[in-house]
Amino acid sequence: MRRLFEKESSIPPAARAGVLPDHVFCPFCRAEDTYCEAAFGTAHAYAQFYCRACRTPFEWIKWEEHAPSHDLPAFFK
Amino acid sequence: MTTFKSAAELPAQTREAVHALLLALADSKLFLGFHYGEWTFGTPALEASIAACSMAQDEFGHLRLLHACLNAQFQDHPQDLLERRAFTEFANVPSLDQPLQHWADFVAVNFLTDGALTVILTALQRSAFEPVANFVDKMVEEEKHHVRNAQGWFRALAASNAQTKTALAEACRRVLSATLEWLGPVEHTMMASLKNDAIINASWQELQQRFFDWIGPFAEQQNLNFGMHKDDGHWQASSLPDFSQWNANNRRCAATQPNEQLLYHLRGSKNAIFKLGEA
Repeated sequence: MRRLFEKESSIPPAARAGVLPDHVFCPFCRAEDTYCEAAFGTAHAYAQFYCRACRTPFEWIKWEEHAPSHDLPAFFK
Repeated sequence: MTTFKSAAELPAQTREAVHALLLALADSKLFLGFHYGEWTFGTPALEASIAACSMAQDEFGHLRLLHACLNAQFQDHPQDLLERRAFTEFANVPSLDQPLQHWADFVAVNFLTDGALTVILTALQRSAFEPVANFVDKMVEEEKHHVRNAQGWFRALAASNAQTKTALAEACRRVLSATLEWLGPVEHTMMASLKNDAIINASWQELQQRFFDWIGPFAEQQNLNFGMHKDDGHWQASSLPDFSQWNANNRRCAATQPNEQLLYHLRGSKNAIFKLGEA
């Protein structure tokens, strides 16, 4: 299981671009040494991150600014 | 704007058109949910499995909403819709008839087929037919995630090596043709009645154009051609299906149908003896 989480983010950068931040603060140890592991978590609204400092996976709630409307086609507007 | 609180209030031709459209959306979401669910395993990356699984749940949720509406407004029982229809009656997008063999097929269906269905859903927002207007916003909100997932994978595969890019272009070509077949002839009277009674917010031609104006430039940005071109400032499909034999009930040009094994699996026929309430 550790091997799974110690790799670099496997989300294609192009797929991630403009939607999710590269790293966020860990909610457990406040370290910034985190990376995005998965674009979806247990729900669409969550992304999965991993903290290298305390080696803890955590879910991060996506904010609207990280799911910008410019990423969507015009017919949604 | 005149609104309709139930199907009984709709003019006869429009009622028939709404019924056919809801059935076609429900059938497509049934098969889409199945294919997404099938790809819970075997994806190129773990997070793609999670996304596929999440999208399957969304599609089955949408199916339930559509079946509930069909039941309440048109007296179609969900079990009859799923289990007591001939294979040839299913009005799903034909790109969903067969198993999705490769990841490129999945991405093409996610991008083009799911995308086309979403264009139709956005046209149903604030529909004059209230039973649909009441639930379609929720579906559109969830579909935004599907579009983001499709665009992300499309970009990633298109930026990959030549082999991957070719596989994606071929899959998109097949899926686009089947999706256009399902969309049907834009001048059909059934689609016209939907617009005339404000069931949808634009003509079918405009909806098809919205679809083209999204996928055309997007594919061009990734330098991938799968049969779209710009004509007089508007994006168009380079070839359209022959609609002379188009059947408005199952939205097909020929006598095709979903794969029998796939439907057998989807219906849970193998486990029929365990179904509750069917002793």
